[in-house]
Amino acid sequence: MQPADEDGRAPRTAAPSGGALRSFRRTPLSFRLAIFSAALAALVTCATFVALSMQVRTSTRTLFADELARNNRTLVNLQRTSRRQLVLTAALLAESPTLRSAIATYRVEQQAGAEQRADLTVTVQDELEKVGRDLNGGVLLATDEHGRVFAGYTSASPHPMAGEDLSALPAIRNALDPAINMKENDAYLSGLEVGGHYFSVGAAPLILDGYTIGTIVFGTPVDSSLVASLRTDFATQVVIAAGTHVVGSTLPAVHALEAARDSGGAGRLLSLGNDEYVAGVVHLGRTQLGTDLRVLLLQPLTPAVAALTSALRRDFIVYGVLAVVFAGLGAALLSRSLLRPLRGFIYFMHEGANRDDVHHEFNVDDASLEIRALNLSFNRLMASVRGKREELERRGTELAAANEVLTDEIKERQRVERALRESEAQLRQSQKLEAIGTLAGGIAHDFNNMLTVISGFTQMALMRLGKEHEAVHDLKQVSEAAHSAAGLTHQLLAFSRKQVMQPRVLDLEQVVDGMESMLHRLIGSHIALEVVHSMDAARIKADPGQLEQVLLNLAVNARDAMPEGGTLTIEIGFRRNRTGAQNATLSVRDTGVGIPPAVRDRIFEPFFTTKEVGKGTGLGLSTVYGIVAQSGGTIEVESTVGVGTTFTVAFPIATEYLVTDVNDDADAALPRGTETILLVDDEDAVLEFARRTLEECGYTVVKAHSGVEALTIVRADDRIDVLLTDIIMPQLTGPQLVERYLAKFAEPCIIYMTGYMDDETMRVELDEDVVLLRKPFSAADLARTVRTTLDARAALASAVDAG
Amino acid sequence: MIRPHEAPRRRGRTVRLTLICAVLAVTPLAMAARPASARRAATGRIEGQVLLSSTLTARRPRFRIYAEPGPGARPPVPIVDEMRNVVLYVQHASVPETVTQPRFSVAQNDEQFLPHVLPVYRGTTVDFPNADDVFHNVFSLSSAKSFDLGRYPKGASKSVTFDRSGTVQLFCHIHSDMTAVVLVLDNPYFAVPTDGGHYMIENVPPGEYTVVGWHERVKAITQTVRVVAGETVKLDFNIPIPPAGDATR
Repeated sequence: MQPADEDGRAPRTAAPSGGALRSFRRTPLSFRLAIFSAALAALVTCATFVALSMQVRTSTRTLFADELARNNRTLVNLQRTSRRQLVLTAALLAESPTLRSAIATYRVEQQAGAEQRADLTVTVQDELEKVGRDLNGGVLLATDEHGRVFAGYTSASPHPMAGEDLSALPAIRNALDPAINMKENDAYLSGLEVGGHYFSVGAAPLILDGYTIGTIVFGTPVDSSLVASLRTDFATQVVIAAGTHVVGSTLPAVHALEAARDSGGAGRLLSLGNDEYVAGVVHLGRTQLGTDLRVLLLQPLTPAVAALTSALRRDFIVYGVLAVVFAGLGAALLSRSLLRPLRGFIYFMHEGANRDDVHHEFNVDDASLEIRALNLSFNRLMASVRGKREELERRGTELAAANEVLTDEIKERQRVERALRESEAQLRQSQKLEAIGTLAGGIAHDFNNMLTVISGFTQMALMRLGKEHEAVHDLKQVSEAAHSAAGLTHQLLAFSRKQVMQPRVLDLEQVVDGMESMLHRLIGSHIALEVVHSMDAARIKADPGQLEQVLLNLAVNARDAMPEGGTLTIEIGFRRNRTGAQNATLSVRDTGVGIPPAVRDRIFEPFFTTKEVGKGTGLGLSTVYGIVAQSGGTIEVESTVGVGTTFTVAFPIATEYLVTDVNDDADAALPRGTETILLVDDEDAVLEFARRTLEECGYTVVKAHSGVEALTIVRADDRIDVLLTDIIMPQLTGPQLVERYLAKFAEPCIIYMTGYMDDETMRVELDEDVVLLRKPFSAADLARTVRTTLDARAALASAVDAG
Repeated sequence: MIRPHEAPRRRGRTVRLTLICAVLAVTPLAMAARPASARRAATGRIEGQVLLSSTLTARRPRFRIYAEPGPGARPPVPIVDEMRNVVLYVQHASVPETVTQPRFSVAQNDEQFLPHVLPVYRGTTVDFPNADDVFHNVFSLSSAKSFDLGRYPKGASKSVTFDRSGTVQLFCHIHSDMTAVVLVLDNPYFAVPTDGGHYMIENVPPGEYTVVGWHERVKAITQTVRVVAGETVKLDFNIPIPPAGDATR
């Protein structure tokens, strides 16, 4: 496009004024149009004014020249008439018999050689004087047939030019020439110069009997009186010049002289001083000395032109300003009316572009052809865009639909694959762990029973011996060792995930502190352990055993990542997750080799391990993941190869209050009761320990070695307040026993005892209000659990009774 | 209407004048009673032909300031032949004692003097009858005879005696175009040619003379001649009449 091209060139070609020019180019079109029109109008007005002033000047000059030419003709005619009058007067004078007779007689006698007749000369002189005296400054001469002055008269001198030869004077020459008739009247006219005075003269021949005997010359003065008369007649400036000499003038002498020296023709422009004149010339003829007598009529041009021009200028200023204003306004209005549809159009396009709307059509009907063409083109373009867009959308929709189908398929497939993989993993794990679990579970179960016996009897021994006995210290050592052994079996069970999920409110800090000594042993002395508490009382709800397992697994991994030693940092912190909920965090940070990004995504997969064959199970992190997920938490990993790895486990903050375990205190008195307790366990040692403990506390104990025995022992009228049963028993499990018992007898309080739980029992969800007593348990544990359960029931019963 | 009547009269007069001159020329020695033949025998005769080598058409018309056509635009038609304005006379001849003085007249006819040129012997009286219906006032300023007859009407006549020789210019005070010449001569031996240009001066005493051919516009043309008694001398004149305005050149 042309404007773009120009804009592109402008900075190069017009760099200095580019700014103003560009800023002018950027002004609105209407403004530019208005300015342009106004400027054009001003220019046209000025040009017209100049042209018109020139025209006025020329016309005035022409007019004046015409007028002057007319004046000239009038003057010429006047002069001709007046000089005809002169000639006629001369001719009339020539008729005078006195003059004729005197001159003729004088002539004849002069020819005859007689003496000069002065009387005749005087007669002629006298005759001329008689007439001439009334001529008011004129001249009257009589010449002989040779053109010599015979006699004459002027007011200035009584005998002018006596004897002077005037035959050179055209008028006289013509008068004397018989071949010339009066057809060329002007031939009888001449100027005459007498003693510094100028005259316009006519001559008439003196003819006697067909022969010329002389002439009569008659003239009027050419002087200031003629100037005055012409001035009156023609109302112009008058200069009478004899050659280059000024005879009379209405102009200042200097200008008159200048005008006299100018030999221009009629209609000529003369510049005198500051003024210009149109000049016209009338010739009055030549004198006897050859001097040209002229009358110049000068019409002053400057004042007339100035008057006209000033009037014109005033008008032009007024109308020019009006023209400029109206042109500007008109252009502005015009451009507005031109641009209004365009503006609407631009607004429409702008709006359309903002809304991304291609469906509306813009329609102007009352705009100019160009706008309508633009509109039509735009609408066509929009229609085209719309068509394309619709097609695109249609295709997009199709594509999206196809994509959705495909995505769904992929998702489904992935889900299926994952499910398959999971089930596969579960299968493998279950297969693998089944073996370990069976082994560990069996050992743990037997160990738990034995530990219960050891622990229980040690407790009883401690109670019986009293505090001052010297064996007390040794027995306490045995009791603690048994307690530690119980912890180890717990770990084993957790490792095999054969444990019952029993979440409760925990303090993370306490859990970590509790594990610290074990962790020291686990990681070895070449790795420093740091525990950082960034938060006090970080309460979470989780199964403590499982939480311990999480920490254990992470610590083992950290240790394995730092074969050359390093620092293992365990940090308890607090943060908010994305949804704003408060989380307590447990970070395990090592300074080890780090996890390569390539395998980072796979670390939680079951059986994925980077450890040497046989060293790792590949289950550690997947177990962690499972536990964390089971507890409602999340796990994240940050790792930099060569720097270290940080696992952060986040748990929701628990809202419940922490239930602090009351530590076993052998010294404290056990709670007592008189209720009847049905005790069922297949392990005699445990059964005996429990019976003795409960009987010492005042309870009546009915013991049975199996569920079947228990059901047979109990009579219908026996009042059994508590059913305390092991869960894992041959023939009839604890829950089965409970079920059957409840079918036959009144509802007692039920307390389970267990060393572990296999998959089968885990599937059977225990009621929430079921009281569980973990093996190995102490006498205190047993006594408190029984008492608490009975009290809770009593409270409930009284509440029900009251309600 | 006058011309055919006038011409014979004038001729007759001339013949008579010639006779008288001849008688006068012879008489100084003879008696008055002497027979004419005797006197005639004692005198000679000059005879010849006059030629006007230039015509008079060069004469100017009246000056008219407005040059419209009219009578004034043409040269005036001469009433008499120009030849009659020529005078031939003998200079310095002895004059007889007694000469009969015939009366001559210059009439004012049709605002012109007639004849235009009149040669007379000294002492001759000339009548100036007015034949026009208007007044005329004949006058002269010439030194030979200066006079003014005053105004007089038709039918009246005044006379002047020219007792001094010379050229007398006649004018009319009323009509300035009117002019005539009375040529007053010292002796009676003169003649005016006929229309054909022939002239004859008779009764000239023998001797050697200068004969002048005169015209008012021409310088006098002179020729010498010897007159023998009883003989006729032939003497022709060629008078170049110059164009008007160039008369004396």
